[in-house]
Amino acid sequence: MMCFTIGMPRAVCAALMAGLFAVLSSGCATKVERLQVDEVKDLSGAWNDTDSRLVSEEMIKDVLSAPWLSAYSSTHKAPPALIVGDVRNLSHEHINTQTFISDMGRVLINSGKVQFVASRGERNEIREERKDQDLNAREDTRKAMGMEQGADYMLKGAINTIIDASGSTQVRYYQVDLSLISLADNRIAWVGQKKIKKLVERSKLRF
Amino acid sequence: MSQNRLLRCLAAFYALWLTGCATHSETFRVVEQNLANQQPELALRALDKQKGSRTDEVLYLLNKAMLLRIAGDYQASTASFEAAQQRMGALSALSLREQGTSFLINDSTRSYVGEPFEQVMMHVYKALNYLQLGERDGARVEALQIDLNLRELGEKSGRHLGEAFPRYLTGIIYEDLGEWSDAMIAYRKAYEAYLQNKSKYRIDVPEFLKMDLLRLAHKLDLGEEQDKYQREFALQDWQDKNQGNPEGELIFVLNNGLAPIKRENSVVMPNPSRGGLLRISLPYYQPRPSLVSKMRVNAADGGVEGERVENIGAIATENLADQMPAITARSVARVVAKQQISVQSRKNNNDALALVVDIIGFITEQADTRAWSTLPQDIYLARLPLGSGSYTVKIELRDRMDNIVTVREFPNVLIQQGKKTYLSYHWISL
Repeated sequence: MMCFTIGMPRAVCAALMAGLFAVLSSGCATKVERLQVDEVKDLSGAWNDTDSRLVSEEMIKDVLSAPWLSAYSSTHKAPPALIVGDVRNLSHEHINTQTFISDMGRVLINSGKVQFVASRGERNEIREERKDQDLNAREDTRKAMGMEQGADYMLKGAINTIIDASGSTQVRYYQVDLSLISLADNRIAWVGQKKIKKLVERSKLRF
Repeated sequence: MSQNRLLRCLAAFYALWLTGCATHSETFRVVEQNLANQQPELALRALDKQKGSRTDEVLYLLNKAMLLRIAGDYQASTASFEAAQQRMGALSALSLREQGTSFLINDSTRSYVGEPFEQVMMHVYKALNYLQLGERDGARVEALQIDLNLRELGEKSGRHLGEAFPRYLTGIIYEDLGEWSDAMIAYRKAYEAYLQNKSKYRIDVPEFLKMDLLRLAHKLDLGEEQDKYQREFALQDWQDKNQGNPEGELIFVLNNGLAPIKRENSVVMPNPSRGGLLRISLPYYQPRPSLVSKMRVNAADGGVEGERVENIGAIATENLADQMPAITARSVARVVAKQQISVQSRKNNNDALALVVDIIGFITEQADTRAWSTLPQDIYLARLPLGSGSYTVKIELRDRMDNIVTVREFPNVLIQQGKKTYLSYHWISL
């Protein structure tokens, strides 16, 4: 369109545009590079997969070695059943807390030392299915209502942040607190904590 | 080339340029027209057609988010705001290349990062999106972002425009989550900001905020402070007014009208030293006062008058006035630089080049009229205590003479025990 205003012949304009397009498109093709999931790649300084992984690793190590587990096993025959409650995001960013919670869940369940029961949302779906089975499933495969396993502990927590910023420099401090609360008597059986601190210096110049 | 021919040539080029390259505010008119016709979907489509260069990406994302909000798609709106925020972060660094082109061509060639008050308002609307979706923790994140943003702005410039309502909203968010002391701090800061800007923005301290301050001061056992507020507000009987311990609350936010639009003011004058024409283009805000100046929110038997809590039009105008010296200086420097190039080429006996430089310099001198113009002109707020249940909420918008402009109904608004329910509406007419 620009060419027409300058009064350039249509063909020349089209050729120029095509040339320009070729140059631009060759330089801007999407590039994909595969990364190892444990590779650290910090881009903006915001919460990312590495932080999530660090938290889950620390928490898993801590929760499995803490005395609450051996104390529980010595008095009960079965491993304790856990339920994941609310992990509140009280930070400056929108953080997906599901990633480290499901990481923790996987390791804990597979260790065989702990059982997990479905969370509130999941339970409703399962109950729907059971209701449906009541109507439609064969007698010998039908699962009865009211046979759910109740949880012994609830895992709750919060992510908090403190951000100190001046100009283009920021110190970002994250603190993730998780606690295991006994559903029988509100006792806090375990508290895990992971702190992460980052210094983020934003570039003062760009292209 | 004679003076006459040069002038005619320039005029012809100018005419061509104007038809080919309208300023931002002119092309945006279609979108606003659709909004005024209550057709946000059409407005979105019109906006998508205008999706311009990468330099305007932030502006496009902000406008898109606002249109999606008006269309009621809060999730998509939040996503668009989030994208705008990320882009703003990436653009916070200074680009030498853009500085260079803006020095040679015009300010519109620089990437749009949003004015400081626009960045704060972005978080305000993001927070409202979360609140309307019932995600209070999400809104809390935005409240913290507002705090952080205002703190950074305060450090940079020593003052920030339009702090009052964002602070007030963060207070409401904290109080809703039961974080009384944070809420108190936010309410206090909002109160200070309202007091400071009272005359400038023609906004009084909202009665709702006075009640909030008294209620929280009482709750937190801040006796002295409570006494102080009682005296200042002349509300000795505030507790009687606060009686009845409501089970829930409706918070209604009215976005009234559209923010003022930036226009271009060009001065064309003959070059006194060597003939030819000089052009300096500067932006100015054209106010768009809204017809609506009163709001009443009714539900069941009760009702409450809304109050004006933010005057974005005045904030935008003041913000531009603050920047005007710098914009003018850049514009003059640009004209001088272009003249120098032209003079230099004439000295080298390259008259043709000098003419081209003159013409291009003349026609590219355009004001930067980009602004987030889907923001409202002002914001009204109403807080209505209600028992839990389902209500039909009616709002009545009136003009200065108390004539009803429009009436809107929101059926099936669910009020929950001990919780706040948020509703918002954007009233636009052109």
